[in-house]
Amino acid sequence: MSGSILGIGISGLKAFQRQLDTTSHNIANVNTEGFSRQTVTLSERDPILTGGGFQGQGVDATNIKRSYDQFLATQVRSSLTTFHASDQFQQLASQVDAILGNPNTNLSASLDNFFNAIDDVANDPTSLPARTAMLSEAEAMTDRFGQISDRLDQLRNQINQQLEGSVKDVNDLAQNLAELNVRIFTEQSRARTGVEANDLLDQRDRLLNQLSELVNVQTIPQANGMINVTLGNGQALVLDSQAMTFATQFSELTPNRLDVVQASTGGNISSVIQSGQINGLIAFRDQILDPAQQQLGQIAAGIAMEFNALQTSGFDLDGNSGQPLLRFSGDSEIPVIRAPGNTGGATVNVVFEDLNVNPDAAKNLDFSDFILENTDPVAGTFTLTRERDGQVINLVDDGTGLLVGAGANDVLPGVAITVDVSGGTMALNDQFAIRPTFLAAQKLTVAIQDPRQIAAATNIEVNPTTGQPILDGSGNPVRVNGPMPGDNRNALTMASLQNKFSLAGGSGTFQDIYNRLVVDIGSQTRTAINNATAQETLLTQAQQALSEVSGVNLDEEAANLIRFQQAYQAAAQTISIANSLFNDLLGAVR
Amino acid sequence: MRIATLFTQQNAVKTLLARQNDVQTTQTQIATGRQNLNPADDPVAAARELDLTRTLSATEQFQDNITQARARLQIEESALSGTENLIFRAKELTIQAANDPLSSADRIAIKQEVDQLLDELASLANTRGPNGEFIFSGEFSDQPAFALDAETGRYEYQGGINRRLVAIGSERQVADNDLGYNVFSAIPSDAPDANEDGQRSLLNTLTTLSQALGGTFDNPPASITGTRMLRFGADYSVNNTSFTVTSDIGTATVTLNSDFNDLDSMVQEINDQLINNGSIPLFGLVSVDSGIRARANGNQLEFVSITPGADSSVRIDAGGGSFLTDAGFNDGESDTGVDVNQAAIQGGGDLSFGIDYSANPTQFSLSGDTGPVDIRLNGNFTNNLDGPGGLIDAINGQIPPDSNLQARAVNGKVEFISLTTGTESRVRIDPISGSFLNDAGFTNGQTGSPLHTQTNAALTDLDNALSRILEVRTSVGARLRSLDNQENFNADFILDTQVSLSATRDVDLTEAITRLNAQNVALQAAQQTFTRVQNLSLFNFL
Repeated sequence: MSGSILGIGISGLKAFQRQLDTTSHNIANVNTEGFSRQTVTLSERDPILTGGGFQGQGVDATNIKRSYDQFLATQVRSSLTTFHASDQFQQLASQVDAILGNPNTNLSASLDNFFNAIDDVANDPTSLPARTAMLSEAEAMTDRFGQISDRLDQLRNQINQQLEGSVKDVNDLAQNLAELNVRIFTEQSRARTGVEANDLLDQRDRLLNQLSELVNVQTIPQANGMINVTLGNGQALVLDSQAMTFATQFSELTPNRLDVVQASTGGNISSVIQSGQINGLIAFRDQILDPAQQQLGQIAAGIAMEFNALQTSGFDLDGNSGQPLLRFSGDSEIPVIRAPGNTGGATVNVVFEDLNVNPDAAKNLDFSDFILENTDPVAGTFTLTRERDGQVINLVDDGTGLLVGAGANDVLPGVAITVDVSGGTMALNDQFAIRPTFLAAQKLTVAIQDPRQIAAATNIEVNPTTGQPILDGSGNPVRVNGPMPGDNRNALTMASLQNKFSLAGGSGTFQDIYNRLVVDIGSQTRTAINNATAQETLLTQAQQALSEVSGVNLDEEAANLIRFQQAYQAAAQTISIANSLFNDLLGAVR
Repeated sequence: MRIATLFTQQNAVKTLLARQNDVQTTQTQIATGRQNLNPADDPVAAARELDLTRTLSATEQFQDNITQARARLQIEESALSGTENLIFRAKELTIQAANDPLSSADRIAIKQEVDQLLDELASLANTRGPNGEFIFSGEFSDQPAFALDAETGRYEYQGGINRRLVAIGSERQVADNDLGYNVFSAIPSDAPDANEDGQRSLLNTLTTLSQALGGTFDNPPASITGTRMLRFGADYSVNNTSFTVTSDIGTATVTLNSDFNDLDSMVQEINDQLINNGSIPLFGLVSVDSGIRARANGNQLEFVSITPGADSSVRIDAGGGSFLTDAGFNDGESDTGVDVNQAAIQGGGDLSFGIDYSANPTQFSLSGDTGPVDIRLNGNFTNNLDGPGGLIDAINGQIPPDSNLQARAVNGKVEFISLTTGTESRVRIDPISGSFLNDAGFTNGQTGSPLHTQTNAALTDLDNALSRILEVRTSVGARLRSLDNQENFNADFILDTQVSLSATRDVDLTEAITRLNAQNVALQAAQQTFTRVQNLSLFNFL
């Protein structure tokens, strides 16, 4: 009888010891991120049939389980993904927002100063100090364009580095997940069915959470304890013990633009990543950074076109025809990238149209890259695809190599494209990427150094009494062919460019377009900040829900500690009782 | 509900950070004075701020423009006012000079003052603006508006053709100067030396007056002036041009086939051909002097006959090419010279059909540089004004040769001229009896002399100049007023814009400080509760 008490007491001691161990494990991991609280499952031992019925035999610690909820864990992961996507987007967008909107760094002030300086030249076109000031302000304006553009470029480089780093992280995480899969499988196959390697599973969940911060993933648990991980749409990332590798690669027709590709096939999977930090980076680049840089370039190009048109139609202080005020640094005014796969040797030259030839050229400027593709080498037809929305313009060679719109609605975006076949022919489907506005802000510089070269004069001859222009036989105004130092008419026209609806189909002034850009970026940033805040709340809620299930509460553990200690003491007491029972028995027979 | 210890702690820290962030944001708002730190805080307000700032900056520039324009217009106004006073004085002097009993010494004294006035006028017309620019020179503001031509001894306008406009409002421009050409040059005139358009410059009026007072009466030759600006020459190297000029002496066809950079080189080439390639058809002469000279008149080209006075004529005809258009001549444009150095008086009445004095004889006296001559008319001169035995014959028959007088008919009117020239030349008519003066349209004591011709013309011209100056002054005054109005308007606008800008951009300090206090309290509360709550643990009681 006492043997039974002893056995039962010991079973209790062992079970409560296990419980005390687990509680102290829980307490020890109170600060471990992703740790799931563990509990010991107790069950009574099988009874022995006696004359008095089934006699209980004590307790067994049958399992140690972690408090875990698959559904809540998935919710945390998906919240992590969306939060990190919007948070990354928000952080970067806020930087652009600050660059464009800061009263000390934005474009507005330098535009204002430039136009005011022109007014001063108009007030006294013979004044060299006023002319010098105008050139300085022009330089300050082009510098400001350059500075903003440089800042945007730095962001682009930062994104590229971050993309590379994140893709490497994804690869590492996938590799670790595959390795953990193997360990979990090995460990669990040694144990009974239903017994789980709790701490390894926690580790795997932690890796999955880290992965979810970067990309949107789905998990498919396998019967053997392993887990398969796919990108949102089913692109495999981890299959059992196998991890896929991704890489980054520069886009062929868009320099400095990184795509995420599958390392083995080279297939572009940028569009497959629909959430997570990587998506935040890509979305920021496509929705904020590129449009901002393009629109800034649109303003820069528009300013150059308008001012150069006036400069070249006017006359400087010495009566010479005006030279362009602004130019674009670099080998070519507009960069053209020949697709590596082109089979023909032809090249393409692109420049901004002259407003004196086509007065609508600045209005037609767009804020996008374009892809020129030959559709028929014999007929000399081309398509020009606007990258930002895929709109197609049909072009045809006018016989001299200059491409003109095929139909009335095929309007060139403010650029003149000429095909040069001196180095080789143009083959079918040969492609060229044309980037009119992307680098325009960065490349904009002042072309003249000598303040005398500012063409403040129109030299249009007028009747001194009536002030009416004198017209030649064709009805065009006659120009005086010598210096008219006090003639400020061209300067007045330049100053009035401040209020001219030059851009975006004639819908806005330079400043208007810039304001629209600021509002657009500001609104998007605001939305992103709001999104990120909302996502953060959702994430906190999901984490809280999960932590309510899995988290360690120290008070609870303390109570448990007392409870298990008391149980342990009670079980020890039964051993002491068994001992005294045994002594009683020995005393009776002595 | 279970509460995870780690999560509670992390959450509490997160809340603390959020409160600190609130305080930080408000603190930055107060420190910068800006409501919106980044466009994202309020994108629409950000755009509005940019817009308002631009408007403000542009309007402030307009105010600067107004200040400068006003400075120039005020200088112009005082120059015009000076000119007005000068004209008044010139008129007084002219009227004095026209008085007959003036000794030549008196005339010289007047002449000296007129010369002073001329110098003063030249300096007024070449008034400089606040930046040292010549305000009446149009776009050639770095050069004086009027310069003395060494060849003719007269001031020529060499300023520009275009008034300068200055923007004083977003849709408003005002001329901040006037052309010397319009103010001083293009004054309507009947004077003998007026140009073919009937204009004489105020400076030339004074020059001619001064010369007349000094006893110099140059008979102005025929001259025609182009209207177009040829200051910088013209290029005929591609398209040749030719034209024909004809004077009272001869004719010449000029061909131009090179690129002329300035008017002087063009004049030189034309004169070469006029002097060496002329022809005199009547005498069959070729390659001789055509008797015409080209001259640079500031901005324009002039053709002048070398013959002075009434015999002089000049005419231009188109050849090939664009010269006439370029220089601003009409095909067939012509002019004739005038004699001014001989005294003459002309009656206003038309006696083309003669008159009958057989019933009522009439008598009058003529005086020239010698004593008076009495003329008596008592015949019937009906239908015989200047025929043999006509009225003119009858008068001339009674004038002794030594009296240096002569009668003649000019367009049906009777004119008496002195055969003497220069200062001494004089003719005067006085009635004795009968109706001749009345019939022929003379006034009692009507006197003619070259000086009279010039003083009369000068008086008319000075009046015309005065009314021109008045017009310009009125216009300047109106412009100054509109500058004032626009300035007030701009100032109001700047104020309104600043108010709007402030409302859009600036943080409401009272509100922000109140908010900061509330946020501080919230932060402190969060910090205190954090320590309290974190201290609660069952382990404290074990």
